[in-house]
Amino acid sequence: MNVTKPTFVIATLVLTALLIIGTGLKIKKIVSLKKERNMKTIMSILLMTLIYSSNAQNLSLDEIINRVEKNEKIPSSITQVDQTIITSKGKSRVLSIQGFSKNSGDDQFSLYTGPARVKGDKILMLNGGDDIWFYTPRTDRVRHLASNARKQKVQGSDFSYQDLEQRDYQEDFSMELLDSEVITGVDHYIIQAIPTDSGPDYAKLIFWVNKQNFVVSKVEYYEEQLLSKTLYASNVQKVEDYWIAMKLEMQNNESGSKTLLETKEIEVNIDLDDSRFSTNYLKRN
Amino acid sequence: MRNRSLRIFVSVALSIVSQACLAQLDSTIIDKLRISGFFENQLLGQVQHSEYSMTNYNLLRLNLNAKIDDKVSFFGNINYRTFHGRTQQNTLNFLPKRVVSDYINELGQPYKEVADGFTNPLNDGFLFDNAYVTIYADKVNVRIGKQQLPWGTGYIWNPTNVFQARNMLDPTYELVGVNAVKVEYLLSNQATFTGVMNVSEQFENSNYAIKLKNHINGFDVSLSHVYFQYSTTDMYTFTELKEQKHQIGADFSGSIGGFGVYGEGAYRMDASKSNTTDSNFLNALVGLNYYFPNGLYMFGEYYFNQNGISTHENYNINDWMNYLGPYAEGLGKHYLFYGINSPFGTNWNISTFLLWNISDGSYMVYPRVEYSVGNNTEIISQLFLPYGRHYTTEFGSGGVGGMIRIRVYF
Repeated sequence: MNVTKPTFVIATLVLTALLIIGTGLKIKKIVSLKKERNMKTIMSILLMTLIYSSNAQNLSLDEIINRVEKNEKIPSSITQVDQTIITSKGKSRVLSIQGFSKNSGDDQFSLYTGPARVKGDKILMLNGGDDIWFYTPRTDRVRHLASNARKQKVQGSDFSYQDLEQRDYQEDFSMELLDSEVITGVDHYIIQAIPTDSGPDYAKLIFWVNKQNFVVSKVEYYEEQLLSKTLYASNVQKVEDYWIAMKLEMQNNESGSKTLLETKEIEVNIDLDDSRFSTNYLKRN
Repeated sequence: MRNRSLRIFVSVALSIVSQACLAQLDSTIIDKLRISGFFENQLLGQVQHSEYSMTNYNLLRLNLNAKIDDKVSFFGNINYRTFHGRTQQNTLNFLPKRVVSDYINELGQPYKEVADGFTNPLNDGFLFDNAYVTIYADKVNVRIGKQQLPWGTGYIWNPTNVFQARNMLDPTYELVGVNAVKVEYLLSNQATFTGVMNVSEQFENSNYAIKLKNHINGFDVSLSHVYFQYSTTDMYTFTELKEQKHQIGADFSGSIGGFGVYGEGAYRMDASKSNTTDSNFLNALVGLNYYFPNGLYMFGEYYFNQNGISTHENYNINDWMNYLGPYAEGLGKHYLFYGINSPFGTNWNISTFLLWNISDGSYMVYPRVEYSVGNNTEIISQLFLPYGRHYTTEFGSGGVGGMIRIRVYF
C-alpha cells in the first residue's frame, strides 16, 4: 500500500475542517480579539501538525532508515542493564549487565555483574558481531565463538547474540516499506527486511518504526514462515540527541518464555579506551 | 597490683590501636574487597571390579577479589574440603587387571604389599586454587602467584599446555592454579606477547614459556615455545627419570562456513643430552563445533598423540602411571571426542559425550544433566558408562559410575 494515500486523505480532511471553521467564524463575526488570537494559535498548531505529518509520511525508505540509525548508532555508551528471563511457567531470574559500546555500536563489551553464578562473565563482540568471544572466570578461559554461534541464546535468555548486534540496515537487509499502522495511538511505518549474507540468520524481520521519534517499537523475527520471536520496545526517552527505548521485551513464541532488558542507567558519547574492546581486556579483573 | 594496671593499660592500648587499624583497614582494603564463592557437595558412586563404593565431599570456596587501585589487583580463593565415604583410593583399582597382574608377577611380591604403595588418601584440608597479584602498566601486565594458565584452544585436550591438564570427564571444572610469574606485553589490542616462568625449587629447574598471540583474518592464532622438565619413576626399578623437553606449539580458532574450527599442535623434543632423539613426538588436535538454530550444539575433537600406544596389549604400568601424571595427555595414539548439548527451557541443559580411544577400541559414554534451581544454584548429574575389553583397555577397565553435584553460589 502506498503511504502517501492516507497522508492526502488526512491533509484534505484537516484543510476542509480549517476552511469550515474559518468560514464559519468570518460569517458570524462574533469573535473577540482574544478568541481570534486563540484561534490563530490553534490553526498554527494544526498547520504545523499537518506539515510535520505530511513530511514524515512522505519520507522515503532510505530517509526512514537514516533516521532510525541516527537514534541507534550512538557513537559510544555505557549502560547498566537488568536482564530478566521469565520462563513459560512464570519463573524468573535476573542478571545485571554493565555494557560498553563504541564505534556506533559495532564494538560491544558486556560484563555480568550479578548474580554470583555468572558474575565476571564477559562477552566481547567486535566488527558488528562478526567476532564474538566469551570469557568465564571459572576457568579463566577466553573462547572464540564460531560465526554461527550468533544464533545462540545469550546466557539462556531469549536474545541471541545476533539480536544484540548493532544493525546496519542498508547492508544487512533488503528492505521494503509495507504499510502504516497505529500502535497504542502512535502511527508506525511497517518495514519488511530480508537479511542479506551479512545480516542475521532469520528468514525475515518486520519492523514497526515510530513515525514521531523513529524508534523501532516492535520487531517480528521469522524463521522460515514461522513467527519465532517478537520484540517490543517501550519507555522511550530522549538522551542527548537520541531517542532510546529503555525497555526491550523479547517474547519467544516457540517456548513461551520472554526476556526483559531494562536500561537502568545510560551515558552516551563517552570517551572509551580502545583497549577495553580487546581480547586482552577480557581477562582483566 | 602494678602488673594488673599494666595489663589493663596494655589491653586498652591494644584495643585502641586495633580499632584504629580496623577503621583504617575498613576505609582502604575492606571497601575494595569483594567476597564471593560457592558451596559444593558431590556424591560419586562407582562399581569397580564388582565392588561398590561411594565418595562424598563438601567444598567451600571463598573468592577474594580486591582492586587495590587502577594499577594493582588481587584475586585468590581459599578452598576447604572434607571427604566422606571411601577416603582411600588405590590407583591399581583403576588400571586394567592384565596390567596389574603383569606388574605383580614382574615384581614377584604379594599384591597387598604392592597395592599399599599405590594408596592415595583423600585428606580434608585447605587449598589455594588461585592467589595472585596483577600489576597493570600501560602496555605490560604482570601476574605473580598461583594462577590459571589455560593455554590452547581444545576442549578436552590441550597439547600446547604443559602446565595444566583437564579432567577429560569434567573438562570445565575449575583447575588448581600454577605457581608462576606471567608477563604479558600488549603489542596491539589483539596481539600479545606472553612470557611465563613456572617457579621450581631451583632456578635452573624452573619451566619457561613464551607465546605470541594475534587475531588474523577472523582467526585467533598463537605460537609458543616451552622449556619444561619433570620427573617420572620407573615402576619396575623404582628409579627416577628426569625429563627435559623443548616444545614448539601452535593453536588457532575461528570459523569456516559457519562451523567453529580450532586446533593445536605441539612438537616435543628432548632437551637432555643423555637421552636419544627418538623421544621427540607430536601431539595434535583438531576440533569442530556447530550451533543449530534450535539451540542444539554439537562438537567433536580428534586427538593424535604420537607417543601414545597403538594397542592395548602393549600397555604396562609405566604407561599408565605416566598417563595419570601431569605431563601426558593420552594413553593411546588416536582419540575421538564427540559431544552434543541442548538447553531445554531456561533451567535445563542436557548433554551426552563420547570419549573413544580408537587405538584400543574402548570408549566412555557420559550423559550429563544440569538443572538451575534458581539464580545461584545448580545441580549437575552425570553417568559414566564405560565400554571395551574389561581386563585390558583404557575405558573398559573403568567402573560404571554416577555423580551428582549441587553448587550454590554466593
